[in-house]
Formats: sequence, C-alpha cells, structure tokens
Amino acid sequence: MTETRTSVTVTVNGRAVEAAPGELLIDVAERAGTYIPRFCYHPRMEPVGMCRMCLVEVEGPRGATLQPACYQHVNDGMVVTTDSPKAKKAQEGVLEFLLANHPLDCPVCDKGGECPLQDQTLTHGPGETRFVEEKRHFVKPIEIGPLVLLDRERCIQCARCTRFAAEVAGDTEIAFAGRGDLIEVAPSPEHPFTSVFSGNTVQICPVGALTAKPYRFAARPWDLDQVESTCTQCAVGCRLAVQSSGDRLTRVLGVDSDPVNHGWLCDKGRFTLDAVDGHGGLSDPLDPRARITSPLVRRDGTLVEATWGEALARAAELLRAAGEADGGVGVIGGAALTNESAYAWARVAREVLGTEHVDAQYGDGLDPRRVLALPGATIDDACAARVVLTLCGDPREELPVLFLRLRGALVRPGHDLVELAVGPSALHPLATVSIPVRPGEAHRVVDALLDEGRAPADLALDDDARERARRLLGDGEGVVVVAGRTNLAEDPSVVERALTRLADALPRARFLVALRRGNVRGAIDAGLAPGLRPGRVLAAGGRDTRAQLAALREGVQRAVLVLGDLVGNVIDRPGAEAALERADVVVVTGHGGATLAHADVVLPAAVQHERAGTVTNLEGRVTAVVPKVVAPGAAWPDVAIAAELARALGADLAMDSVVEAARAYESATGYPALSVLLDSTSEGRVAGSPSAPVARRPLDPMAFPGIRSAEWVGLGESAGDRSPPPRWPTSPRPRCPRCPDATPTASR
Amino acid sequence: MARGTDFFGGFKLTFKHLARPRVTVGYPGEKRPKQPRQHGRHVLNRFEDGMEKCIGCELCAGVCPANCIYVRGLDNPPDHPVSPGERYGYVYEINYLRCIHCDMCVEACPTQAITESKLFEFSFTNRSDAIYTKAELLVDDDGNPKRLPWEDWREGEAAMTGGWMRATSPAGDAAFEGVVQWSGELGYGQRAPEGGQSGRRDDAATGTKSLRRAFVRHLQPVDVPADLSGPRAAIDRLRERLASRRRGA
Amino acid sequence: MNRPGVYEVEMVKNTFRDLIYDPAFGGGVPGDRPVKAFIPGGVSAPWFGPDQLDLPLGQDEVGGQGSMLRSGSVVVLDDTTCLVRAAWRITKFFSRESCGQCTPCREGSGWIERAMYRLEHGGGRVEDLELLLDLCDNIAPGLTWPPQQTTICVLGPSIPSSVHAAIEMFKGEFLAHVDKQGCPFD
Ligand code: SF4
Ligand code: SF4
Ligand code: SF4
Ligand code: SF4
Ligand code: SF4
Ligand code: FES
Repeated sequence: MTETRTSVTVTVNGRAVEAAPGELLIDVAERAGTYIPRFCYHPRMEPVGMCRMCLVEVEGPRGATLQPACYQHVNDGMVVTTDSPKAKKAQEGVLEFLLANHPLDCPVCDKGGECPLQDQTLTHGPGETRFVEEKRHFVKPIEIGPLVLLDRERCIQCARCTRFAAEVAGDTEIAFAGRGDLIEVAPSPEHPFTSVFSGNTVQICPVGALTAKPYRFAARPWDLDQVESTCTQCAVGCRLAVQSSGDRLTRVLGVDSDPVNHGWLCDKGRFTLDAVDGHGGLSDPLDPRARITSPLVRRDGTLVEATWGEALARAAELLRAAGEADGGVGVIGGAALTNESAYAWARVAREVLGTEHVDAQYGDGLDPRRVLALPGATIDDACAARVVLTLCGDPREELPVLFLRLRGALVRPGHDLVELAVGPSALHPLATVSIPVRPGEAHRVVDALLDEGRAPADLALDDDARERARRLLGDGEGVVVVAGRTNLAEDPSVVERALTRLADALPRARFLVALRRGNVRGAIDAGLAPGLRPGRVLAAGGRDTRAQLAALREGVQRAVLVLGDLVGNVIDRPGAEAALERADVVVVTGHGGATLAHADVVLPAAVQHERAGTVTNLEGRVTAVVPKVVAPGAAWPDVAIAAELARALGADLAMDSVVEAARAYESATGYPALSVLLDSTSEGRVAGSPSAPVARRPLDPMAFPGIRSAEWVGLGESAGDRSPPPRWPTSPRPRCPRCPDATPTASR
Repeated sequence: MARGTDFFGGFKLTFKHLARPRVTVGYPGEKRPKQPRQHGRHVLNRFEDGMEKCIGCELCAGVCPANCIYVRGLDNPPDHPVSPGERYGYVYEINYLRCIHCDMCVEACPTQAITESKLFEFSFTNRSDAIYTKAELLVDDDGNPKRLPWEDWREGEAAMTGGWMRATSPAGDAAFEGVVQWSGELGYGQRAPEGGQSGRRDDAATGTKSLRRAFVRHLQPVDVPADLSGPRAAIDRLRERLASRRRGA
Repeated sequence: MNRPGVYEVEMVKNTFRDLIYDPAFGGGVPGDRPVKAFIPGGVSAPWFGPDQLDLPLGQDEVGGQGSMLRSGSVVVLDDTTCLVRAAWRITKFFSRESCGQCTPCREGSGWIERAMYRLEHGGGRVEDLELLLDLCDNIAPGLTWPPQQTTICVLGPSIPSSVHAAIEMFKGEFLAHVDKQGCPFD
C-alpha cells in the first residue's frame, strides 16, 4: 500500500501554509489570510475556473505562470504569489473585461450595495473604463420563471446559476445559450424555471442578473436589518438570515449551516414572507391567508373582537367546565410552535387541564413512541451512509433541502440508494435498486425484501431487484433509512410495522425519520404527544388526533384546545368539521382558517419571524428562532398565551418570558433549550448528544452576498484593502467522508 | 491718572464706524442676497419632458447622516412611466425636523434629482407639516418649486433651485472647477459655472458676493485675503463696478 | 496567389519563398506585387515580414522565430492589402469562434474586434494602439512566444497574435488610419 500524505506545505506570498492534499488553492490562501478575488467559485459547488478573476502566479517548470486559484489543487512545495504585478494586472484586466459590457445600473439594481462585482471592482479593479464602444444590449428583465427575473445585460457568465441547477438541484431548466460575447443564460424552451429551488440561483448570482420578483425594488441593502433564524416551514430546519426594512419583512437568505442546509433554501422557505404580513391586511378570519390581530369571542353565533381579558376568561370558563365534565378536554396541534411554547402548552394540558389527550400531529405523522425508539441518524449520517434506504414520500416535495443534501451525496461514487418507491420521486433517477410499493403494502414489501424464500406473488416483486437490495442492505451496517409516511390515505400502522421490521432485521441501521411539519419533532420532545411527557418520558396513553375527533363526534370528549388550523390540515376534513361542530373549541392561531368557523374563542398568536425560541429539526437538532418583526395588533407569543391562560385557570406556570420557559424546560428535562437560545447564531445541538453548540462558519460575502456575517471582516467592510484577511480562519472545504477525493459524476 | 483726551479717544472707533456703510438690513422686510452655496429646503427635479429624475434608488436615504429621508422604489408602469428606466421613487419624504442641510443627499444622487433651493425661511407648527412628501418636494410643471403656505419665497428666489455645485468636484479634481455640471431642467436652475474654490470670489452666476468681500472694509487687515487687498484688488473692484454699471444700463 | 491550393512539400528543405514563388506551388503573387507580410501557420499564428521568406518550412525553425507552422496554411498579404482590415477580419473570426466560457476570451475578443472595426472605419484614436496592445496583453500576458494565457484554452492567445503583430510591424498604417479617420486603402 502506498502511504498517502495527510498534509502538504504550500508557500503563499512567502508564507508557508499547511494544507490537506487536494484542497483548492483559493481555500488554502484564504485560510492563510490572503483573500483572492473570485466570481464563479462557490464553496458549495465544484469549481469551473470560468471567470478567471482568481488568477495568481504559480511557480512551475515553465517559470511562474498565471493559474486560476479556484481550479488549482495544492500539492507539496507549491509556491504561489497572489499580489505580484503580473497577477494584479491579470486581475485588473479580467475585471475590466467583465465591466466592458456591464451596464451602469447600480442605482436601480437590486444587488447594488451588496454586489460582489461592485465590491471587487473597488478592491481589485482598474479605476476608470477605457471602453468607448456601445455595450451589449438585451431586453431588460425577462421573466424566466414565476419567481425569478433575468437581466442578461448584467450577467457576467459565471455559471453559478446553471451549475446550481445542474449540479446541486439536478434540474436543467436554465442553461447557457449562444456563444462568444452573446452567450446568455436562457430558460429551457420547453418550460419555465419552476424549480422549487429557483431562489437559490438568485441568492448566489454574484451580480444583479437574477432577481427575485417578491424582493424586486422592495428595499436597498443599507436599510435592511438582519437576524439569523431557522425556517419552520418544514422539518429540515434550514438556517436563514431574515431581513426587514422598517418592521416589514423583505427578504430571506440561506445561511451556510454545515450540518443542515449548506446555504440552500427551498422557495417555500424563502418566499413565504407575505404569509407573515397577512397579504396586506385581509381581515376575513376564515381566510387562511389573513392574520388574526385581536382576540375573538363568539357571541350570538358570530365571532366578535374582544379584549384579552374577556377572551381568556371565556376560554378558561369553557375549558374548566369541560375538564370537570366526563370525557374532558383535549389539545390538538402545535407542530408549528417553538419548543418553549410546546413545552408551555404541554404543561398547561397536563398540569392545568389535567388531560393526556394531547397530539401535535394532525393524523398525518407516525406514532411518536415508535419514532423515538428507533436509533436516530443525522442528515450528515445519511449523506455519509453506504446505502440509503428510502421509504417515504417524494423528499423534494416534502423536505426539499433534505433532497438536495441526499442528492449531493448520492451522485458521488460509493453511495447507493435503495428506494421503496411509493410513487414517482425526484430521487428515482439516482436509485441503484427501486422496488415499487403499492398503498397499504409497505410492511408486506419490507417483509418480502428481508425474508428468504419466495415473495408473495401478489406483490409482483422483481426477484433480481430484491436480491440486489438485500445484498446492499446486509445487516444494516452503513445503512440509513429515511422513513416517513408514504401515503397519507393509508393507515399509519402500515409504515410503522415496516419500520419495526426494518429495525429488527437490520440491527445496525439507523433511521432518519422524515416527519414533515415544521417543529413536529420539537413538539413531540416537549410532550405534545399522546403517551409522552416532556423530555421523551413515556406515560399512560391518551387519545391522538383521530381518536379525539372521534370522541368529539361521539360526544365522549367535550372541548378541544386547537393550536393552529385543524380543519385545514386534517385529511378527514368533513369528519373534523362534524367533531368541532359539537364541541367547545378554543383556537390559538396566528392565521385565519376554516377551524375558526367552529371556534368559540380565538386567541391571536405570533407566527414565525415574530417570536423567539428554539426549534428541533427532523434529526433532532435544536436551533434558535429569532424574531425580526413585531407581531401585528394584539397578537402574543404562544408562551405568553399559555402562561396567561393557565393563570386564568388558576395556575402559575412561572413562565412569563421565553427565557424563563427555556430555563424551566432545560432544567426539568436537560433539553438544550436555554443554551441554544442564548447562542442563537450557532449550529445548534442535537438533543441528547453531549456536544456543545458549534459556531457556524463565517460567510464569505462573495459567495453569500447580502448576508451580514458578523465574523467576516472582508471586502464589504474594508473596500480598498487589497487582501483583507478573514478574522477567523475558515474551515477546510468540506469533503464527503466516504469519498474524500471523488468528484461527482453528473448523473447516474 | 487718565488724561482727558482718552475720553474722546474712546469714541474714535465709534465715529470711524459711523461713516462706514451699514451692514444690517430690515429683515424680514428686506433680505440679504443668499450665498451661492446656501443650503435650503430641497426640490425634486424633472427632466425637460416632465419625467421625474428620481429613480427611487435610496442612495440619498442611505447617505443622510440625520436619517431623515424615506424613499421606496417601485417598477415604472410600462404604459405611463414616471421616470426613465425601470424604477421610480413612489414614496419620497424628508423630515425637516431632522434635516441638517448638509447636502450629502445632493452629492449622492446619481441623477441630480434632488437639489437644494436657497429657501431656509419655513416654519411649521406641527410634525406632519415638517415632513415634506413627494408631492410637496417635486417641482411643478414649469420646473418651479411648489410654494407652501408657511414658506417665505421672494421674487426670483424660486429660480435658484439648481444653483448647486458639488462641494467635492468629481474625483476631487480642481480641474473640474468652473465646469458646468448641472444642466437645468425645464429652464430653471441653469447658471454659469461657479468660480470654484481657487478662483476669485466673484460669482457671476448668482450675483452674490462672499461675506469676506462684502465686509472687507470691516475686517482686520490680517483677515483680508490677499486677492482682496492691494492695488490688484482695487483694479478688480473698479472693473466690477464698471461691469455692474454696464449691466444696469 | 497565382495558384492557391494544397501542396505537399518537404519539411525543412523547402522555404516559404519556395512555397510562395515556385511555379510548382504557389506560383507567385498576382501582378508580381511585393509581399507585405505572411502568416506562416493559420490565422492564429503571429505574422512574418518579407525578410523571413527564406525561413525553412519546419516547426522548430518557425517556432524559433516567434511564430508557428502548425496547420501549415500560409496566408500571403501583398501591398494592396490593408493590414488593419486583415487583422480586424481575423479578430472578428475569433470573437465569433469564442465559446464564451471564460472572461478574457469572451469579452477581450469582442472588445478588440470592436476597437479594430472602429479604427478601420474611421473613429480611430492614437491611444487606441496602446489600448489594443494592453488588451492583448491581458489575454496573453507578456505577449511572449510561446504565449502565456489568462484563458482556459489556447483560443485565447490566438486572438491577440494578429493584432499584436500588425501593430508591431505596421504601426504607420494604423496611424494613417487615425489620421485619415478611415482606411487609406479605400
Ligand atoms: S450587478 Fe452590481 S455592478 Fe452590476 S449594476 Fe448591479 S449593482 Fe451595479
Ligand atoms: S445569471 Fe448570475 S449566476 Fe447566472 S451566470 Fe449570470 S452572473 Fe452568473
Ligand atoms: S427545506 Fe424546509 S426548512 Fe428548508 S427552507 Fe424549505 S421549508 Fe424551510
Ligand atoms: S441635507 Fe443632509 S440631513 Fe438634510 S436630507 Fe440631505 S443628507 Fe439628510
Ligand atoms: S433623489 Fe436621487 S438619490 Fe434619492 S432616491 Fe431619488 S434618484 Fe436616488
Ligand atoms: S476562475 Fe476562479 S473564481 Fe472564477
């Protein structure tokens, strides 16, 4: 066996730097404090060496030659000069070429003020133009998709967007067309740019060529204020930067979180800000787009506005009466809350209302006790796994950024996907083995897959595929099962039985449970689940959502406290309406919805970007959410509503602030609520693992334009300095642990 | 012991000044001419074809040290664009309770949309009057500033809205002094280039004099700039007087 | 050429003069006009003047003189040819040939082409010569032979070779274009 070197020494501007073999020169230099200008290079994508902005002098057999630092892997003894007159002239020359055909749109350009081209022109460009010819002209912004506009005059042909589409998202709806200086980014002629990841191309475009329709002309960078938070639109929990101008949310950008989203977001997470501002003041409480801004109480059959005192008193009256009657009360919903709110409501249910009938899932999830019993895997584990087994819906639709992460791993050699295909899924083209599963048969297919002998004929399984899958799975070593509800119409026990069987038969496999709703994992952990007390303590079972609705319909249960929109989310909508019709209903919600047609009391709550706290993603990682704008009207954060409702019922939760709730939660259960809340920009902690919160990597403004990264003392702040050093060294370029040197194959 | 003449010596200065020209005027009935670079309340200008110059870029708002400008941009309606290009300012407000008339906004504006008139004589009795909206700042169809009830405009003052020159000439280069950088709009605000910072203090554009020149006979000798003293200055003064007599004729 | 065509010649033994004037090959220049310059190996090669006509047809020999034989397609420019126009046409070819991937080639070829067009069709300025040489230098740093490049592929250093050679060898002709504000050959 040949010995592989673990480190090489490179000389950058006369300074010796240690590096890992195969690292890119641009990263090594940056770690050594020498910033090399760049446009096309992006740390989360493969380099292409197209823009030539990063030219540096590298000593070689033919003397010092100019080489692109982003395309050059370091090797031992390499001698590099980044600021020689020749390198500087080349960089200036490239910038002058880039600007030759670039319009002078800065004052009306959405990128103006945070534009890598502006910044690097100031730091590395020539002072004045020598170009007197007519510039290239295109029709000003064209719509290439429902959310994205393209201004081809501003494009510098860096191919970040097209590479993202082809390399990361795997859809080729945009590509280059034409050649020479008339080359342009063009949407596919067949269909517009409708990828669910289209917003990422806007974020990484180093100029204002791609702009997002919702943000167009909404603000300028200098009047934006920013916090770092977590997306709660689905259970992936992507880290994001939320920006507002004058107490109005204007934009969301993806923050590069190493364990979670690598800087990417889906368009759902990125563009749902108008949900927070209630679409400009819709006031019909039955419209799910409207915000509820005042407590409502039903009087003579209609919901009318009331004060908090009146509404809380009425809610307490209804819940107390029901609690004293037979069957009592129950609590449904809460998967969209923070951990602290979920904990507060769980305590209200258990300690104040005295009920075990608590369920955060609307009957579309899995039995939480079984979920918690499975050996857990993180997203990173799934991406490093030898074999990924999927038994879930289409991850691109349900958990979009999880799909990106999985895809990024699966296109590399050394990773196999065994797909129990419940329908056409976006991962299908990457599957090594794909076994079709019809609704209601998941457990039988899993049995047939794992059992020796012939499979039941009615399953119509391909013996060859079965054999290959069995071989790949082995005893489960290196296998991660991505498990979720395959079909919302079928009984959840079908998947649950399949998972139990898999856990038994593959003792070394681990499971990434793909529950979909925002903070459902955190709600379960906090005890908003039947048969689970806060901190994952098993208890005597209560009724889940389906059982509660049945009990309400039969009159066994009298009242229900709904946290969110029940009717709009359950599968059996008529059944839910019939149940609520007979019950006393108290709703705590930020948005309107069909549930309110049956509500007796409505308590307005703050929604995402308006509340502080922590949330837990599908892998169990706890991260912070930070409020950016003030909740409208009289809306309160859930923690406050829970505390006040408890008080109206005669109990004191001693939780008058989110911090108090987090402290109470952490001290009672050890759940990392307070520690994460107080370190809100960290990468968070996986609950149950002892690790301390890790600081996230500083963000290069050239790769993540628009995000203010506090740790980065870079170009944005010190224009004029030719090699501004990052204050903290960046971590080495992340490489897949299974295949450190492999380059991804475009598709398999 | 003090001598008797000392008593009269004390009046010497008084009598000397009695013979000099009076510098005070009967304000507000009469006003002194304003200085060429006087910073007053702003106007938003139009192009000759009536289009608004402001493109809503918020650069003025970004640079304002008093944070008193509020701008929001919007897409130009394609059928009846408000300004040339893609974007126009649909909200534009300046809070004059905060403005310090530093003219940074004027320097920042890429389209010379915002300039300052010489009007400083405006007072208000409530906050909302002090916040000028776009309707009030925008010049009217003739290019004249709108005159609000609480503003004291005098004859000829309205024409001096474009009387503006960057305090810092482009790239800080003295070679740009004396170069017209401002093309008036709708016929207003056009003026000859300013003398600049190195030339003589005569400003043909506004017909005003620097304070030093106006008060030269009241200054201590050390405070009189070199080009305002000596035979050279006497010749200049003569020339000027002849020129103004010609203008008057 | 009196006899333009494809000829098989013996490397090194024959010279460019043989190829151009030998009745068996090129057969001389029409009207016996003098050769002003010739391109030894395809339009991406730097040009030679008449004093290099006796150079043998060999890769090393031509390479040693700062150009290349490579494809072996020799282009002869006689004294009725406008060198500015010739260089412009060649640059135009390259600017349309550029794939558009990397910046110096994509933008550089277009810029040089447009500046050359302006020179040829009036509107030239004296400072354009310096500008053109600097743009050439930004594509092929140092304008050395063999060329260095800032581009991904070798199409890049092919772009400046004709413009660079034309300016070096026929500066007067460029200045005549500037003086006349147009092409003196029209
Ligand atoms: S992309 Fe950057 S440089 Fe280009 S117009 Fe926009 S802000 Fe200006
Ligand atoms: S649109 Fe933006 S990201 Fe795409 S190639 Fe052009 S400059 Fe690069
Ligand atoms: S994948 Fe989920 S968490 Fe990430 S941005 Fe999209 S909705 Fe938000
Ligand atoms: S003059 Fe100065 S303080 Fe007043 S609006 Fe302009 S920038 Fe602001
Ligand atoms: S006044 Fe000038 S600087 Fe201010 S928004 Fe309008 S165009 Fe921009
Ligand atoms: S070529 Fe290296 S950053 Fe573009």
